[in-house]
Amino acid sequence: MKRLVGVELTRLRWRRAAVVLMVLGALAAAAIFIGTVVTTSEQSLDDLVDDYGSVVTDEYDDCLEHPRRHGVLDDTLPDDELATACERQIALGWGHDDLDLGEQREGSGVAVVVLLTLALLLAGTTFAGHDWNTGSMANQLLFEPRRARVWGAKLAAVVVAGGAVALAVLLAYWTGLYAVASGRDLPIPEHAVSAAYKQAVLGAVLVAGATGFGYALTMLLRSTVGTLGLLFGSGLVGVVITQALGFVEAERVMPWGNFTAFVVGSYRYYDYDGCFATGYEAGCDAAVVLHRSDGSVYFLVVLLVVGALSLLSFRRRDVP
Amino acid sequence: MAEPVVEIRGLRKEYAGRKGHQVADLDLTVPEGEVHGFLGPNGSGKTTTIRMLLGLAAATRGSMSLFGVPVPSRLPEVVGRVGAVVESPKFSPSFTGRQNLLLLARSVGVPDARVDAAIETVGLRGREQGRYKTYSLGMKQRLAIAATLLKDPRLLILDEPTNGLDPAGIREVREVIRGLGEAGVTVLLSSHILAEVQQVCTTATIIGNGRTLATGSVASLIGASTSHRVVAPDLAAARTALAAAGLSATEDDADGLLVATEQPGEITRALGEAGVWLTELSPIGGDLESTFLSLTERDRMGGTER
Ligand SMILES: Nc1ncnc2c1ncn2[C@@H]1O[C@H](COP(=O)(O)OP(=O)(O)O)[C@@H](O)[C@H]1O
Ligand SMILES: [Mg+2]
Repeated sequence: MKRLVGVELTRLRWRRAAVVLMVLGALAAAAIFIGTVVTTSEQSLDDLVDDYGSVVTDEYDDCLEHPRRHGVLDDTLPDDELATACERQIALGWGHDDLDLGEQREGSGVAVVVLLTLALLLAGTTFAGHDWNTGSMANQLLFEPRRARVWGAKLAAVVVAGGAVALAVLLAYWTGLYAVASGRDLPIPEHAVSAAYKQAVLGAVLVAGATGFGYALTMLLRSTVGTLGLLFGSGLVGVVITQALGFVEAERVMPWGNFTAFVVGSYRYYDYDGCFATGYEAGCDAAVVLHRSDGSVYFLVVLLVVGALSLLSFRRRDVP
Repeated sequence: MAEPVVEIRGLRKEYAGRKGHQVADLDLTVPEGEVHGFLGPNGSGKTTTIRMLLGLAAATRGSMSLFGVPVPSRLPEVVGRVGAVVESPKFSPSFTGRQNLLLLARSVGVPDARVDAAIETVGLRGREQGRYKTYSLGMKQRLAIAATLLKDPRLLILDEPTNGLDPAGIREVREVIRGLGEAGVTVLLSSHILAEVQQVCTTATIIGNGRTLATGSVASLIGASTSHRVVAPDLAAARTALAAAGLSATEDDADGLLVATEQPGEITRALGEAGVWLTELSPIGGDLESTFLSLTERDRMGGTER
């Protein structure tokens, strides 16, 4: 079995489309990283003037004259210190927010996991689709006829590769942000760092699962195009379900909330109808929270159902 | 008598959503050491049968064994001794020929050196680093045969291996098959070309519409044919070679010889060993062709149960 997994990993490494998708995932993460670093950078008064024009200078001049109006409470400051204090106040109001690892975990960090998920789901899909599209699956089975093994070895290869790529990218992402925040002398709470790395690991687990999902679904449908069609189609079905159930009721069964719950830890939505239904007693709490455990169960069920169907059909059906 | 290498009894295949059978009550026995022709017109069920034998398709009914081991239930035990090319060979088009072979070799755990040996054997040395999609049909077929050699097979199953090849390619592939047969490998060669079976095979089974129609040695299937017409570019050399092999050859007309033998294999062997090319070898008064045509015709007219 180990030998077969090794063979499949080589097959994956030689498969250009799969590698390109992995590289694209990493590049997307790099782009988000650069964007995050830039949009949290410190800005001088001149930068802000460049961005917003004379409102900034007007406000600055006003601060020099009436410091209290702009939150500079000590009006005994000497001129140069007053200038610095006003600059800081203007930057607080107009400038970028500081880099905060906690905020990024719910923002750019989720975006990176989303993009990696999409890229590697496609990588898993093209990996399996290639074997079917070229007909080389039959050839492989002439060398290893135990189909469950073949299926399992390919799954192991894509899951390992997808998880490893995602883990490497996410660890690099958070290490990079941590380094930037330290370089800027920003306060970084201890737990923010461990929480960031925890999210990296969870994200990698999710991406590994998505890679396996793309693979298993394509082994079931036997074509890349079929899988892409089904995913696109289920997007449309999602819209229909949302229409039928109502946006709020659909939250529980749609991927997005579960995705966020899994990666971030919780996802909150508001079910006001539920409160109306019970007569809207005072104090009715409309907030519904999906926890990480909800997201885990959701994705585990999807994976197991698709995986079981995929393996079963691969074992039984004629191979072209 | 030794156990047959391939044994098929009462094999049947129905495809979901298609009326009737594609293969019905098919029997096939391939004795050890023979080059066995599996002869039938297009659509008669040769590929379907071979795919079931190799575990790529499920049989609706019937029993099959390879080396006396029931398949597909115990196929993994014997697959290491079976090399097969089913229909047109299919490999990953963007990998090189060598990469494709390496992956297969590693999946069965044979050393990489075997890959290079196989490439050498089929004459692809120098082209093995080209992408598979740039290969000619003949090269693809030879790569597929190289893949079967990775396992050092005792049984070779070749499904219409000369389909779509140019005359030179056909001759090469037939020569490879004959060579393997002489080296003691049992071969199951499917074909819809009568002459191919006649030239290459020692025994044969004729099928039509998914049924076995006749089986036996090629000589017995040919029946009455006691002489063969040989056409070769160099008739003088051919006559010398045949005489050296103890065969009597007389002039048939300006460009052909008449050779008295029931065994076309003797002619091809004698000429092959002397390095003389054949352009035509046909039985005189031989009726494999008429046997074939009448059997398959009769089957098409009367034997249908659809
Ligand atoms: N996957 C399939 N689904 C339905 N019918 C098929 C399939 N494969 C082959 N057939 C049918 O089975 C019959 C036998 O085909 P085949 O085994 O390819 O014949 P041969 O190899 O002798 O030319 C044909 O009528 C063909 O149309
Ligand atoms: Mg065929």
